Amino acid sequence: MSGPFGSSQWMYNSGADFYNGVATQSLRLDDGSSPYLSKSFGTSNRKTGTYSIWIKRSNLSLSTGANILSGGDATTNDYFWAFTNTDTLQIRNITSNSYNLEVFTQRVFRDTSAWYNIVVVQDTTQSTTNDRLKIYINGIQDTNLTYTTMPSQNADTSLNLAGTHYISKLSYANQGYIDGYIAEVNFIDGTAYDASYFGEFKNGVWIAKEPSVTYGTNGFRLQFNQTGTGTASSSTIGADTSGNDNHFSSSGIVASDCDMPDSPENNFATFGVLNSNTNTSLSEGGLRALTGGGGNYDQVRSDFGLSSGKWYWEIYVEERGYVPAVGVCAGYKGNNANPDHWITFGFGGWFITNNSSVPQYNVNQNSSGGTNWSVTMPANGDVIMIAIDVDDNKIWWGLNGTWYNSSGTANPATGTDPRVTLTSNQTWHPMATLSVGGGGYTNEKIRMNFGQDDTFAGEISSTGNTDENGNGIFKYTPPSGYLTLCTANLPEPTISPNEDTQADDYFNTVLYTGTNATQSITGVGFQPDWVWLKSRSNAQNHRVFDVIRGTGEYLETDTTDAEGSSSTTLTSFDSDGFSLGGSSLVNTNTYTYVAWNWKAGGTAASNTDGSITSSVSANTDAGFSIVTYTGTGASATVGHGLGADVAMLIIKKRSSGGTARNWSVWHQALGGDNLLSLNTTSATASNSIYWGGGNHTTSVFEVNTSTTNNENTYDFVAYCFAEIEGYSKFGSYTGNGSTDGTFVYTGFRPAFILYKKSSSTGNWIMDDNKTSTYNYDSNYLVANSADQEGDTTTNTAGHMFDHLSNGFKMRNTNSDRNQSGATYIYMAFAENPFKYANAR
Amino acid sequence: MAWLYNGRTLKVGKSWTDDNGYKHPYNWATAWSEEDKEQWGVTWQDDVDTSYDERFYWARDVERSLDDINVVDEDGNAVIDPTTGLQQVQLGLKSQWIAQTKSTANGLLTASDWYVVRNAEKSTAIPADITTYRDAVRTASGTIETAINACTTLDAFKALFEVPMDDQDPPQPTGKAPIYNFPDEI
Repeated sequence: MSGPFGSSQWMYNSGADFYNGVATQSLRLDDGSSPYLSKSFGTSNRKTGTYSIWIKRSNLSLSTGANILSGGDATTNDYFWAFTNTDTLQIRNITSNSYNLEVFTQRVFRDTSAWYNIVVVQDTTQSTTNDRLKIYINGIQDTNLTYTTMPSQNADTSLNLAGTHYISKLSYANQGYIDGYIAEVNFIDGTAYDASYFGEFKNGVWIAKEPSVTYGTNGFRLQFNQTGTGTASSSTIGADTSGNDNHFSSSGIVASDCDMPDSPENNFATFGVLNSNTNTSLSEGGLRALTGGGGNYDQVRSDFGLSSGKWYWEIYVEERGYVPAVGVCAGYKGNNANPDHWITFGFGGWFITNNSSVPQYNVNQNSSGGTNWSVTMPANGDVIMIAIDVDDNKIWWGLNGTWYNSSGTANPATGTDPRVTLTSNQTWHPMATLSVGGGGYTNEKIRMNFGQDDTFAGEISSTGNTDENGNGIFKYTPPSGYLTLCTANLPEPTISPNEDTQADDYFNTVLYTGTNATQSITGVGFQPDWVWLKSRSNAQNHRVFDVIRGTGEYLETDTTDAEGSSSTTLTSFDSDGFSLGGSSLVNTNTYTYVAWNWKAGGTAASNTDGSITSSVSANTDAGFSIVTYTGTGASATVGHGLGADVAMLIIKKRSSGGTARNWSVWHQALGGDNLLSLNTTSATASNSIYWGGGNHTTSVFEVNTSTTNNENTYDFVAYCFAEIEGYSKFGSYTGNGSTDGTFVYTGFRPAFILYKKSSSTGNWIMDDNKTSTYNYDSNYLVANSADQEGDTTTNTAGHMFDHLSNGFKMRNTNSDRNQSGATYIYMAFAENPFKYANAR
Repeated sequence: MAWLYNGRTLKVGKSWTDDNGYKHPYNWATAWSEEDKEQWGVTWQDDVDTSYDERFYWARDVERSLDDINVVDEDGNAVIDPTTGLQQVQLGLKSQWIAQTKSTANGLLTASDWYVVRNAEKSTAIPADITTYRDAVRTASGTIETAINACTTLDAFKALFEVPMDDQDPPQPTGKAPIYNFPDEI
């Protein structure tokens, strides 16, 4: 069969060219330099206009806000569209010294690891009041706005009023500068366009496209691919490429800020405020780190994770100071806590005064210890090089183009003579430690180049070395095979917007409202094999169904009950969802529900890999299988069909005979014979009867004599998971008890997370990207409880957390999520891999 | 509103495979003509409008409760919090927004707290406009709380979020929505 264009796959692109090549460079804005763009315009259409901007934020919660656009007469008639000091977005218009338009997002914009696209559409000609101001975030209209004040129909506003218009500055005061990066800025005078004129969805990712718009008299397009600064012209950074020649002048911007390769189409690593010690301060778009406060050995870290491959970056020593150190870390425990692992090269004045000018390398050591390393002491103005081979657990440091030798001839390209062997199977992040000056030495200042700026913000001249993929720009040539820390260089996940299948082909959440009548729930996007249903609005047991046990057969995650059966619950697994009968168990009239759906392998097959023959429905691509088996009461193995290491098991006795049993959970972060119970708050229990050592293999999992997962003659079901890079993660984290909570790196933007405190009692908390579509997220359900979605007096506020483009961050102190020092295990599934994810 | 293929909902901007195994491009929705869509069996269906305001509804036409509710299980029995032994209570909109209002007031006052601290430590007088502003914030908070508590229907509660307009043609806004009616920051 031929397609409408002659070939069934004529336009499907599974190759590397994922993006449209529209937003490939950016302008860096450092709020400490008071940077802004400005242009004087005459009066034009004051009712209608559209603004689209891509932005990657660095410093957050700026005290005077951060203006993405402002203008007016700078006296009594102005408008400003700006991030607030609490990181929401405000759209405000002042006419005759009074606000006549005030709209605020309920969402906060505090994901500093990736790019947002924000489209603001003002059109006072609309008859419906709230249609006069629309905001689109990453292509989706934000319908959760607070309309405090709205203009009357056909009101003229200060938009396009004669006067100077600004990007990154408040029109009537010298404040409100952006800190971060901006790209592909478009303003349309006189026409309201929705977001689809500036971007498109490509397999679940919002990407920039060539605008198809009529700009109007005051319209402009800023692409930031020039390097000149200052006076407005076609060759300076504020050049308008719309054809209108509405060029902007720049102030507080230097050449090294211009034409940055960090862009919506290739996102570069930076140091981040989400995960750095609060005594430190960052500037220059997260590339300059300074000692702040009074702290010592304060760590600054990047949220960019390296779990495989070879990587190279550079550090410019601006002020060597007393005891700085640079290297990598893994296993975050909060901004101000040391991570599980950190390996650094320490140098500076302390070593000159107290260690015969001999630097040291340090493994998990701060103020004391370290191992002497008789290499040249870096001085102010030097460039330190770091190369890390994550696959072979090796790291090298070098200075000014020469690698430091350890015992032979150091050469990252050949893998010889590394300084330290890294702990294996970790996700490493670039880091540094900074301290206040001591012993007469200055406070420390360093500048980073992860491949976006080999001048280190103008400190030295550019030499323009790239990696072998043509990415990045470095002072020194990266070793062969070592790459720039940018998303273009991240490995292509097997489940990806740029591959045949995406994350939502294997996991998806849908919402529905009960009717007490038969109904089909669609929109899942695939035929689910495991369906987990829960009422959001009312207290009602969780109920799970799967393809092996069959329609109508349910288990409850919050009880010990045996398998229940009702022909009017889930009546069929359908190609795009499932169908329900009229049962009030899952379809009570007016109750609202959430359905979490996973795809296994459809109809089960017999599996004889283990000592117990099992029935298995396996999806090796997505690392998920459903297994049923009959217990033996003795040490045994059960085939799971994953073809990969087991990361997590969730097991439940189905049979109604004998004693009702708890759910059993095994998690790779706990390992061994450790067990949690999905239906209880219990802490981790450990006993060899549970898992017989837990030496699960790529084909079988172990059980022993425990009645919870292997009671003789009784039937069990096991939901089995393997980790798939960029799609699923089964990890652990440590809480810090702070609203500036622990950042957890998953390598993807999560669509679903299930947490449990494993170090002591705590609830199983469930979050997803549909019950709350924006940050912060405080909606949650509890897997071990019938409770409706929070808030209740017992599970009250304090559950705030942020989904991020590469993980999640606690914004609460609730003991179920973020108790100081407590350990939590989690399982998470992706919306998009970090390689392609937009900021949330 | 959705594009359908043989009962399946197609996502705009996502490639998909038809029943004959043909994989179609991610941009099918915009690149295909109406005839192309018809040829490939893709049809448009106007859904019932399911949009709703998350602030007031669980789903379309499913209202959130104004008042606190004692939580009960499917059999109507009280749900007891296992930690406290007390009846579990689901906070209603009034409780949630009173808490929000107090939080907003606190945030507005915090910005000028340093005047009060300075006054306490150094006896430096608090400027009159600051004192007036802080009093106005407290008064506004109390007024908003009273208005919230006075609501007996969801419609009355929703009205607190509406910007007041005058009788002109077209009408002009005359102030802020009652639930946000705090004084402008100074």
